[in-house]
Amino acid sequence: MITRELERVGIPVAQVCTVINVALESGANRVVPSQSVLYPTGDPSLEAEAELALRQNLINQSIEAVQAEVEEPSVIE
Amino acid sequence: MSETQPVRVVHYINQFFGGIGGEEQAGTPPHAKEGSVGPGRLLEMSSQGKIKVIGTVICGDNYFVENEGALDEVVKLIEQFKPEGVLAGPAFSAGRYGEASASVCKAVQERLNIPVITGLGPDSTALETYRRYIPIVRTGTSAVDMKNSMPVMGTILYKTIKGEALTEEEQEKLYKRGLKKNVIKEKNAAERAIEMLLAKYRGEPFQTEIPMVKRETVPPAPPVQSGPIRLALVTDGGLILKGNPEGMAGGRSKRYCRIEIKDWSKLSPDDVEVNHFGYDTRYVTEDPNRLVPLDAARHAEQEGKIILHPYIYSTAGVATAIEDAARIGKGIAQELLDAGVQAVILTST
Repeated sequence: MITRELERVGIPVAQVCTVINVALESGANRVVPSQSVLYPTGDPSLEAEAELALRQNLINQSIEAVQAEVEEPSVIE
Repeated sequence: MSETQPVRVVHYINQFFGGIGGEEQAGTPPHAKEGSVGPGRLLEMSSQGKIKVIGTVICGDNYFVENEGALDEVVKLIEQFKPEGVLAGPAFSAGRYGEASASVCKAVQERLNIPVITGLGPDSTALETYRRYIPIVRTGTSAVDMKNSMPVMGTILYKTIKGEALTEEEQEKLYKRGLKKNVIKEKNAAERAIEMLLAKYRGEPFQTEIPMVKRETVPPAPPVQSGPIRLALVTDGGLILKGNPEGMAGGRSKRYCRIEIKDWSKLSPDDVEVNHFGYDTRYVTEDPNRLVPLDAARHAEQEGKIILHPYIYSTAGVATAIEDAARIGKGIAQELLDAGVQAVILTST
């Protein structure tokens, strides 16, 4: 819902989440899949350095997502 | 020549459409006038004699939202005319006027038990709250759309008062209410389902009995161009300041908070914690960057890809009413627009 309201006023949103179907259904236009509901931008099983790299990767994907031309709710990986 | 009697309708409008004045007159208390005023004339004209506006009730937008008794006063004024139906607005995308029009309709429907109608734009803040209760015509966002929406509202109200069925086209003009209507069918559900399945198998036309309620979709925002993007971080995962000084709820949220991050290179459990009753928050409490990736965002900032907005916006998105979620979203959207933010990363649990 927050995503919809932001996109409505013209602010593109990269929504990082795990439950992709729900996000697409609720009108998120740019979905970046993440690993777990419990830690959308992390992974406690990784070493700190690797976890930071994972996060940086998600940030880069998200930056690509808000620069992407999309026609309808889409998953951007 | 047989002459049909017009239906007797009361029209509710605000001080602006009532010709009293703009914002400076928004404190005008409710009062009634005989006959039609302003857009009420268009309503009568476009109905070709089917609708007579017997009275107009006018109330200032501020008065309505600031005075608890305003709704009662308005309903009483309407009741005095003994109308057969009430039309409010249309209010298009106006905030206070939309709230007033929709709540007047709901109260009239409940207390006077007569048909009502209002008209709201798709981005009206009143829409999510009232669409379940009253018929609302889909209008444009501003009064430019008056000449299109008023005749539609008139036709639908007239037919409802007369007990006539709406055409499919007219039904499409109303926002979906998400209600089901009980009807009696000759064949039972199993028979109908088999027939539908066979029709589908044979490639014949068939019609579903349960069309999915369509959410209002929002067309994708245009992408931002490259070069440092002014970007904000938002989450529905319940990030709060340590010790929860703002008293944020862990769910059923009614509001959001802003967390100032301009002096932070990453999120630390010494500064923030997580309050959300919808998931196990252990891992994100241990390292809040797993919920809102501030550390990685700072890296991207150093690389010149983004300029980070100095606040994180946060709420706990669990068991939150749709209308509250929409309101929270609109609030954040407005703040970010005002701050010139170009894009958002929203992390969701």
